[in-house]
Amino acid sequence: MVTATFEQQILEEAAASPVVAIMRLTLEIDRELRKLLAATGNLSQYQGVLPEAIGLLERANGIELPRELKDTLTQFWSLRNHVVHSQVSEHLALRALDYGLRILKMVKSIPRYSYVVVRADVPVYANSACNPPAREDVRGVIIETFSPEGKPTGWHIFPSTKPYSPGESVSWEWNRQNEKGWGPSWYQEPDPNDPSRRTIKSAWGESLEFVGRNLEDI
Amino acid sequence: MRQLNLSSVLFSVKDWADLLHAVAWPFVALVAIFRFHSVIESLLERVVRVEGLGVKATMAKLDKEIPKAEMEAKRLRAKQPDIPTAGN
Repeated sequence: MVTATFEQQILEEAAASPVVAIMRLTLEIDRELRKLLAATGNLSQYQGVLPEAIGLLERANGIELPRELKDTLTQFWSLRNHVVHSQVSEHLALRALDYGLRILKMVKSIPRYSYVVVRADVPVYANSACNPPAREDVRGVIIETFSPEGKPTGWHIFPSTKPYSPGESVSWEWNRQNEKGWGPSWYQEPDPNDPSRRTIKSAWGESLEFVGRNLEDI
Repeated sequence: MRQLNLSSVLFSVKDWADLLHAVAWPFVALVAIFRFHSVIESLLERVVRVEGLGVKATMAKLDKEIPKAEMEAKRLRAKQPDIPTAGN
């Protein structure tokens, strides 16, 4: 939801300068759209024009948008440009702000998949017995996926060279520059009842590098 | 400093006409602006009015479309009551 504090901040900003307030609000809408694109793995294709984000989201899987959202965002984008680049009345600028706040609420409420780090920095081995040494150039990160309904749908381990912390909510992004990835790998899963006992599990047959970012950094 | 003798570079009537054309058109434009400023002003006013109408039309569309989109967003969310909030 749009927090009361954010809405209040925007309205306070608007009292001083409606144009600055609408620019800040547009940035927040852009940030929320980026989060949605990140959840669908389409963030890299986004160039920063709001209506274009909806086009990308419409083609994405696993996300359902209100049908009128694209039109609404296109109209808001044109109004925002008019307010920012022309001399407009305060009344018009405040109406544009109201539209923007309602759009932001809508975008924030769109159900989407989410990805949470369960374990990070997991040593992975190139042999099925997990004999040392572990792979030096990559570690495993275990990601749990939640459906748009908020239900856990399972977890997977992926190779990554990025540092992660358990509990982090991350975007769905892959390093497509590193096409080679890593070949078959294994890791040790601690027994939840007896941490000294470990089960060897297959990590992946081959995989690209997972490079999801913390959603707060998007 | 070398002096340019026009008669040594302008040979024909066409050359003189070209020179006159090149030099004269800014003056003609100034005279035209001065003479027809009221017409130009009213044209500009019309452009501004049309742009204003565009903004009004945009706002009318937003007034119509946003409530529809909000209803649809509410319906989609109601289908999925346990959704984690954005960012979680």
